[in-house]
Amino acid sequence: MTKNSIYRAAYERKQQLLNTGYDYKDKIMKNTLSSQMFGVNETLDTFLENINTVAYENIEAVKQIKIFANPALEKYEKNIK
Amino acid sequence: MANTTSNWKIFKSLDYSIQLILKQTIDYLSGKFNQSLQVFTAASPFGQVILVLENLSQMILYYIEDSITELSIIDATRLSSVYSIATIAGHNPSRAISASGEIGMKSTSAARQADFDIILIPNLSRIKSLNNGLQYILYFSQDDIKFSMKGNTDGLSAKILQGSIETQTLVARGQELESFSINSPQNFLVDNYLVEVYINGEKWTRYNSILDMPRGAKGFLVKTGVTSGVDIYFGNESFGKIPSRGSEIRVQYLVNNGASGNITTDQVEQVKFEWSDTGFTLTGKEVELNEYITIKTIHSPQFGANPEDQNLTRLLAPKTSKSFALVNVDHYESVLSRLKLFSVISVFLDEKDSRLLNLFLVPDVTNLFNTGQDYFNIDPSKFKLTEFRKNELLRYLDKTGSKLISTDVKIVDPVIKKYVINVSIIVFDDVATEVIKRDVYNELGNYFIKNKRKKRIPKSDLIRVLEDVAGVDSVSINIVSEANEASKIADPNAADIGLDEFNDILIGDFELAIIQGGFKDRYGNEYSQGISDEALGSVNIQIKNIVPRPLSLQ
Repeated sequence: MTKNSIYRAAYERKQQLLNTGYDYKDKIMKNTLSSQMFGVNETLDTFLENINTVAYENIEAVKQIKIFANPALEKYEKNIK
Repeated sequence: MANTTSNWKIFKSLDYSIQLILKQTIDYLSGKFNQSLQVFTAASPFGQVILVLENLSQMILYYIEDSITELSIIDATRLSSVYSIATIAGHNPSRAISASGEIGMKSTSAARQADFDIILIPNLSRIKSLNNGLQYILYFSQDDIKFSMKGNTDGLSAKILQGSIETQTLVARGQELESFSINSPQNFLVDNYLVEVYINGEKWTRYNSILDMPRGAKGFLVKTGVTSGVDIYFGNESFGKIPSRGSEIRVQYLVNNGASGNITTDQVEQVKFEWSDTGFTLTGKEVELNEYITIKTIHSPQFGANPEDQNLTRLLAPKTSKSFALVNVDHYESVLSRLKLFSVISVFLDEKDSRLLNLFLVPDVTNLFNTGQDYFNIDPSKFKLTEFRKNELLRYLDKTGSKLISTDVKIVDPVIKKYVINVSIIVFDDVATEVIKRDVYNELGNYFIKNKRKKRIPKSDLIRVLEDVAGVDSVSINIVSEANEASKIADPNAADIGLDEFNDILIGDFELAIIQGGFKDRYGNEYSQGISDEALGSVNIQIKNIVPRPLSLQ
């Protein structure tokens, strides 16, 4: 199946994945920076959101190495711990 | 243009570290906003973001390194990584193997007065060893045995396995290639062979590969779990039957203590057991078995082995037979190494008959010694397998895989060749000679206990070992061979046997060189077994001279 295959939605429709690990997607900066940095001004909040996205993508990129090397997983699988 | 690109160039050298990038970023920001470096700290929002990103970047680089490292079976550090890579290579890491032996049962005098004739002893009844305190189970091919109180069945024997039985119950989902993870707190101590599966009470057959399962056969596979316990797999109807949805799957397995379950002794009468479980009369009344039946050991428990460790898995994974067949030399060496019972494993084709495989095995005797010195007092028969152990070994090979119909296996005993070592040393006066002698015995003993050399034991190896003993200044060694001395007594001009012109020990096919006396040399000197200060023995130490330690060596 290709990365953006239209059949992907049908394939994943009944998936009920358990134990997918901690969902850190929007929480990297919130958990690592001082709480005083958030909600003070809109510009800083937007900036931190952008930084969070970059940090998240960098961490996710490491998973790609594991997925590519694992013959039991599909190339575009994302759900590993 | 050149100016613009140099402004945007991020890396200014080939060698970069996170700290350098951090320093450059801080320098850039403090220059841009015209701030002093003392003001630009983690207390400022920008400073904090940069420090956090620095730490995150270091973590990400660590994750990258970790994920790459764990992909190679050689470099992987985690057991789960090694096991999973080995599994992909077709190797099923061996779990603990239960020690097995044989016991006989005899009725006591109290049995004659019992008000019942028969005791039913259920299969898998537990007995406890009084030697090591571990549990063992009786393993019959039937549900129970009937033991007579009148002495008719005295001497009845039964196979025993070390460990205790555990059971887990699961429910089938009725899907193709269904798999279940059986997690046990004891992890890889789940027995390598005794795993039985009952579907709705019916026992199914275990297969080695899914391709071995006939169409619709009631079978299952057992593989060592990557992280813990075992995994059970069922078929897909073309290969093996699918358990119907909602069926009860009962998995019964033995959890053992590996090599701790072995009781190594020549005197089986010293191996004692008592009953932990009760028996039943024909009317269902519970009976204390210790009162009516005594247990006599026929063969002490042997062949227990610990789970495969990481290093052995790394070594064995590439050698594994993909067909679960024992065909070539590698396959035999692989299954025998798993037992961790032998110090030398050599498998080769018979010279006269190429259908015969010779297994040259020397039992690992390292556990029998407390100090290196004990090596010189060991009974040479310990280096040979007893008939019972040979039979057990052949049974183990039958369980492990399918032998080729046209081949047969023969276990070859090592031919023991005795040698004596005469050591002359010059020692320094600052170490007591008794201490030096004790160290020399221990070091030589340890060398031979750990020796892996199959063809030659060089004298220079022994000199190197003794050079390192504290207080030894100079060493000279002379090795005397029993076979050589016998030959020289018969014919003084005969060629050397077992030794060469270097005075190295030469080891021929099927031979095992041990350092032990018990023979005479050509000059009439008699070397006794063991070590003694009064007479010549296996190792003889002569202190040639005691000299002061030179200042340059102090």
